[in-house]
Amino acid sequence: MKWWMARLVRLYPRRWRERYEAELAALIEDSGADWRSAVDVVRGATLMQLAYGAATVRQHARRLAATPAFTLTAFVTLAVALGANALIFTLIHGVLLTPLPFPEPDRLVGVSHVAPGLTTEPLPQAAFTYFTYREEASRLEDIGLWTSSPVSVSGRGEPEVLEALAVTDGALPLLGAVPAPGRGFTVEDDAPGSRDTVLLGHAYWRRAFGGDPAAVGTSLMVDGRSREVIGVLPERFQLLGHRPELVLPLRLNRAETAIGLFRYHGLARLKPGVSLEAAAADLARLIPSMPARFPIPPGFTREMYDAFRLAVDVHPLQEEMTGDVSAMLWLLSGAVGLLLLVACANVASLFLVRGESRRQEIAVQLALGASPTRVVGQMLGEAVLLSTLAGAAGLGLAALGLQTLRGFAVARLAVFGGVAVSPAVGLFTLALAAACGLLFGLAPVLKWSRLHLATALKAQARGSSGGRDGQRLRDGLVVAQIAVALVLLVGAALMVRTFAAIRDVRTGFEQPAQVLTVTLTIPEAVERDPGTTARVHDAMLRRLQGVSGVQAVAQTSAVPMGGANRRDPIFIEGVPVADGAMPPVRRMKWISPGYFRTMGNRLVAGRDFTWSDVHDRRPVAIVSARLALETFGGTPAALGRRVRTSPTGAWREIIGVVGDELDDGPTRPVVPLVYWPFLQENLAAGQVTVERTLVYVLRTARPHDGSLLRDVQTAVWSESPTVPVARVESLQAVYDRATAQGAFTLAILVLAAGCTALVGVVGLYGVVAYVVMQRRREIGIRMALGAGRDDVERLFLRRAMRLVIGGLTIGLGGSTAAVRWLEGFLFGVAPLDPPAYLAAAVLLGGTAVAASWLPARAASRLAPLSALKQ
Amino acid sequence: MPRYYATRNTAMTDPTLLVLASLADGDKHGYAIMADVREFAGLSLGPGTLYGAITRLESRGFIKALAAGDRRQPYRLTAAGKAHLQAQLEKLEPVVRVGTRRLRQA
Repeated sequence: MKWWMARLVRLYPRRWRERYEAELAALIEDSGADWRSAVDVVRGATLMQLAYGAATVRQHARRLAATPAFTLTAFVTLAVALGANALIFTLIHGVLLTPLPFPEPDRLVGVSHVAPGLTTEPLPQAAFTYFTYREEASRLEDIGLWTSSPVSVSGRGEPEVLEALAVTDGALPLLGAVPAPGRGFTVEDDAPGSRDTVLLGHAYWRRAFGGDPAAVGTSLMVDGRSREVIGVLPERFQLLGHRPELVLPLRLNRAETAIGLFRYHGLARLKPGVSLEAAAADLARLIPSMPARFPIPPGFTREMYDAFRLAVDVHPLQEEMTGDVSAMLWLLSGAVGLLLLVACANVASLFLVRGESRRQEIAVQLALGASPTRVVGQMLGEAVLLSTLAGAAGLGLAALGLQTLRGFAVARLAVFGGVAVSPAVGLFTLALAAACGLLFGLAPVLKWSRLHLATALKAQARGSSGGRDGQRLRDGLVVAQIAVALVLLVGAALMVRTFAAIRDVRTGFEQPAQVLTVTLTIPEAVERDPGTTARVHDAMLRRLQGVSGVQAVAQTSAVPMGGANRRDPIFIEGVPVADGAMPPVRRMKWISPGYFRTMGNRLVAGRDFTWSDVHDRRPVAIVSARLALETFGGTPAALGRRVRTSPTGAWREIIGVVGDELDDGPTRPVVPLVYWPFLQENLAAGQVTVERTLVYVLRTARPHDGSLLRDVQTAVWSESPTVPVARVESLQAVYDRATAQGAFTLAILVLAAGCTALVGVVGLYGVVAYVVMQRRREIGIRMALGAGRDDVERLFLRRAMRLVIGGLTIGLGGSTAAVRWLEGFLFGVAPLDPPAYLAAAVLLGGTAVAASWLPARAASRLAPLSALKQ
Repeated sequence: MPRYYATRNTAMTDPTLLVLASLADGDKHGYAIMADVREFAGLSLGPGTLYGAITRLESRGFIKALAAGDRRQPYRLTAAGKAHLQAQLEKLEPVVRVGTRRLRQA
């Protein structure tokens, strides 16, 4: 036979060849080997492999089915553990490992700034930095700015508010987003003074225009101004979680740009082969030149600019999307990884026990000449089959879990937008499952490899309590399970304490579920004059006060934890600013009278704004207690002092101090705040300014349902029929969003810890029960010789206690080491918080002792004679 | 030229049936079965196909291996195999009969 034909014959299963290889070879020699017989042999070998594989799987399945209690326990344990891992991996894959949906995403970067001399918070982009970078940078293909804001659209049915992006002309092309039908923005579209244009989001085009290509060329009233529709964005277009319904040109005016006003997000595409560091260095060299290119606003100096220590930060664009979510996901993957480890240890000890009972059977197989590899293969095969099936079930559980998650606030975080159980997740889970199968399938194999045939046969006949080795391995696994379970329980306990601490935080508002927030905008096109605009807002508020069941209404430029962040430096009368220095930047809000009362915040000192403060444009201000403390050394010292936001603005008197609003969320540091009336004269540049967009906060005990919303709409439209009612949500929803990540971390940690503890305790129960079973004869003898029930019970309890105490000790040590991974997620509780450690240890220890007491008690109830007879 | 590979499992070209039919008039080894089938059915079974059929038939007890003088392993039809072949042919018979008659009438 030709050598290559012999090779092909070797494709048949080994066991088949043992029987048929010689005769097949003889046949091939007789009939001659050509390419067609070669193809036939390959085909035959493949079919035979499949047939043998199926037979082996059937055999494994039969063996597993023969011990249903064992199989079911192991299956459920593994399915839950693998499901938890699949779920977290789904999130990790969808959020961290899937590249942004743009061409060549690894060249896309976010460009922002820091200015340690001005503020500890990151600074985004400003017009002056953008123009400098765009004109001078040599390592970027292009740079663009974007910002998101709601706009109102009228003239097409009911007025509505749409999510809009404003972008510079380079932003969409550098992302690779090409509108169709129609075209994108050109330099002219983005230049001030040219015709007003707009791009439609794909979904909005479908909804409002029925997907008609003729929409391009029509006009749309956006914020009271007519804009020509020039194109439609691709269906899949999204920018870092934003799915805009409209995109407008940003239209920065190069000629009027001055130093200041960091308020845009920057994104850029690197030239091929350029590193982040090289791009950052390229931009950094431009920063000192900027004051020479753009005017410095009056009252500010070049020295002040230098004192900001403005520096550029170039980072992968994806980071802006994933941010701190990635730390949370890695933490959770660690937690579910530990759960899986414990599950594997548990199933391994189940396999060990099962191996014990099959000891004799296997010894006989070996004695009859079965090859050890075959016996090992059999055991591994069963383990891998079981774990793979559990992996498939785990995938189902993960899909269910993901479905459940969608109901929670965390799923509404933009970053989880497109997450789904994908083929990659399936592959990962099945591979993980198979690896687990090999791991715990090896446990009995390792033991068997040291097995001496004769002793195995003898030991079984004598009915003794199994090899010392097996016992030690099982004990070790139990100790490890308890230790790991304790680590997770400590983590969960710390998170529970964290959450309790968060619930206790004074947020600056009460009963947020009763507060409905509604955003109303009065566009310039509807009412030009700021004073009259303020009157319209005032009248609107009075209409809403008339809605039945509404207890209080007020207005603010930003609700707490809503993410808005407008800042300016605060100058204090009588406190000279050193040359080149800059007073600290403070966050500001523009509000109506009654805001603090409506929110449930308290006035610490002084008085609230009045409507005559608003309409008469009185130079007054209210500050938060934290600002009063930081800036003036206390509340009494703050009252009556005067402040302003620029060296040229008018002074404003502090007339009140209020409780702190936790503007960045309950776990973030308190933000010092300044409040102004929403109509202002001379705040900065000698003009009258009004907040056109205000969030109306309504306190009402009525449920936030359709009927309340209709009443609100009716009230608004009876005052002005062109004002759309937008962003209706309860303050509770805003709060939930701000705390969603913490809540999610807590939920998964508690779940993982609970499962791990359960699995660990069940494992302990199993081991004690098994030892009791193995030592029945010994118990019988002891009791026949006069040992009392308590003695027997104590014998097993002592043994269990040793394991529990060992596990708890190691676990406590492990917890103190592992807690540093959790530190960043804790709030209001120390990483080494004694109550949390104590609670976790008592809970786990108590359950474990209870679990081992059951079989110990059963042992003491054995009738001595029946135990001896068996 | 006869079709070389009987892949589809229709009754007429099912390799297990062909092997059974070939063994019906006496014991044969692999190459002899191959030659015989080519002779009476006009089909060439490849070595992989033939041994797939032999494996299946032997595992179901329809044929058995005889003591071999050399590497060429002769097989014999068992009683069960005979009964199985009989049953298959009886199922086939009306198809052949009716089909032939109707073709003649058409």
